[in-house]
Amino acid sequence: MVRPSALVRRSTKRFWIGVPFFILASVALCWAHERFVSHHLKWPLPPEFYHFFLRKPDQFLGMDSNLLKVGLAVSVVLFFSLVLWMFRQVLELGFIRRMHWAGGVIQDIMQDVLAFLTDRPVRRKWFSNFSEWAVIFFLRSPALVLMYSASNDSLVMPSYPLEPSSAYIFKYLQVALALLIITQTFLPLCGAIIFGTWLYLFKWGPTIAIDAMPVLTVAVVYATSPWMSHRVAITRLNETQVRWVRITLGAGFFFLGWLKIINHNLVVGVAQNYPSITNDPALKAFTLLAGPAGSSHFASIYDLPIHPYELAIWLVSFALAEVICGFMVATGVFTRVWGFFMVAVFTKLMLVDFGWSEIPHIYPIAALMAIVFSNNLTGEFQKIEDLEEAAAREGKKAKQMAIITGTSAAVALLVIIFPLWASTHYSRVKWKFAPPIQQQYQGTQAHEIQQHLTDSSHGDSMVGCVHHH
Amino acid sequence: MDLSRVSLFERLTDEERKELAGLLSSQKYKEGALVISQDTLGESLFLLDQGSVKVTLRTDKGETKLLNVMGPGSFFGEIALIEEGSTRSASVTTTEPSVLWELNQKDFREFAMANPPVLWKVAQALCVRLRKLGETMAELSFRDVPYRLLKRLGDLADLEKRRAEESGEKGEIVIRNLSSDDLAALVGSDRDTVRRHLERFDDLDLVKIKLVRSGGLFSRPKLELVVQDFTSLKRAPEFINQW
Repeated sequence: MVRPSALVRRSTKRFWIGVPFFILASVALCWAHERFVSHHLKWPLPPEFYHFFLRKPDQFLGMDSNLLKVGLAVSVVLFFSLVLWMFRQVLELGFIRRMHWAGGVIQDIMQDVLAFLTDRPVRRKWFSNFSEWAVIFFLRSPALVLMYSASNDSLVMPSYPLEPSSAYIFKYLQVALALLIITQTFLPLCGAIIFGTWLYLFKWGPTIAIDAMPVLTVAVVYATSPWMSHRVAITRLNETQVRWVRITLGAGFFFLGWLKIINHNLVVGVAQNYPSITNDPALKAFTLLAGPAGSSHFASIYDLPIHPYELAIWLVSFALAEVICGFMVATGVFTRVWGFFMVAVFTKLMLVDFGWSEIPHIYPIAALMAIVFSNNLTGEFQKIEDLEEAAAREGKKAKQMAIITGTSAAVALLVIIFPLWASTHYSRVKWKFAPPIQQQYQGTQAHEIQQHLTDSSHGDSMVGCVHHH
Repeated sequence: MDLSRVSLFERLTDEERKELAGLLSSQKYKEGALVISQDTLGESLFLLDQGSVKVTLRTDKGETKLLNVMGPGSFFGEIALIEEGSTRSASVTTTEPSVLWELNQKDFREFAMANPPVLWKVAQALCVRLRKLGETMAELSFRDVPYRLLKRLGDLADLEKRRAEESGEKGEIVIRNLSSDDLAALVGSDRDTVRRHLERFDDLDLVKIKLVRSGGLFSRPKLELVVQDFTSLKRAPEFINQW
């Protein structure tokens, strides 16, 4: 039997030895963003699409009113989610008190539902069994992705095709790593390899690395596993592991969401190739405030939009949905609710919208399930909760409300509105991964939009484009 | 409610108990109602006036263990009075129609701040409970199953006897609503061992075992233990090793 203290000491030391070794060992070239799911624009983006994101000094905060409306809708959801989170224990107690008449099985079921919704432990055998299965699935799912990538000449993720001259070696390296993962052998080494590869992706810019951030989720668990991992059955994640998985995964989706707004062509390209992803009822809620501009008739994806900003509004809604989901999971606010929602979305993308091409989504699904079915959930707002609970116990209701609403409002503004406002300052002409305007569409409009964007980039603002609409 | 019955407040003066009683609110619960749920926020102390409750603990894997059975005059949820923001460590469910009185943490805090000696007296009463907990742990470590089982049966018989006296019932003392699994959990043993010893106690005329199915043909049978001689049962742990 291996002594636990020896397992922990050795794994930490060898992890830090492994990381630089595998960074140096990775010499393959890869170019990014040619995925199996087609991202190419099928139809050119109209000028209005770009106008939507430009600064408009005559409007509030210099943002397009529809952009602000979508941002506000998401902020409102975030605000109320946080407020409800702070009050969840009190609401739960009130509900339990009122439901004591039910008794027996009904009360037991309600208890379990409440525990699930509020991230409390669900103490049921079936839940425990499913939790163990989810962890087993999560720890082995990267092997599926690696095998799939290797068989399609890509590096780690199908997104990054290997340079042909070195593809042979790295395909087999990936298969070797996949075998280690499947057999759960030397997991800290597997974690170091994944982490090193992720650091290597920075060579092609932060966008690539952000895109691959979710892979760190499993690297965290591998790195904190015992060296003799093949001899022990890892079926549970402890509180620290769950926390770091939650933070890493959530942060990955958070940044990926913002990336969709900045690097919009790829998302629009996917939508044009797979229009069914635009028919998501959940996104409708975020576009409600935008009025007719947001009421997308998705058949219009094939033709010119009914409203000039329709496509852009859908994009922002889609991106901010990912931002808010990622933020909630990262901060541990209604982790199970938001995590479950994301599992449903990814499953729909995999089974309905994209099909086999997006089978690597199995990995984030597995990661989310490992979190959703964990009984070791914690949150990052605990200190704020302690403050407001202390105020409540002292009878200072006004102070309690101020803490809760103030924190929720500040977070909503900082997490949604401020970055959205900041994104309007970003000069899209300079973004190197966006195809040049001339390649997107033909005709005189190309010249005009290019001229305007070039003019405005001298002052790093897009003021000159306002009147083009 | 007469707070002098509750061991937590028995050291308080009559005036203090009277003032405290004004802060209580009562609630009726039907049989099988959940009073406290494990892992939820703890905000109040409960005093059992009528009926009985059981305290259960559920593990992560869904295994449920019966920790205690309480009768009139008992209290539970006392940690919430002192430790602010704590969550409940176990669940409490009524085993028959019951009346409970609730003391909110905030009200008790204000009362204790205005009457500092109350906190000292409550702390002393809590120490008594802590000591009993220590004794139980020592029993678990050093005493064998028959001893622990007899002790527990004696406590349960005590509970039933007090209840019968308060409600004016006459007749046999019957320990009800417990299965072999429940008894096994209470004494830290397994069902088969407990059944074997119960049969031995039946032979020794300490208790009479009856099996009752209250929930239909497919329900798990519950034990009814008719106490033959209350005094013998209470003193039996002293002599168990001689039998």
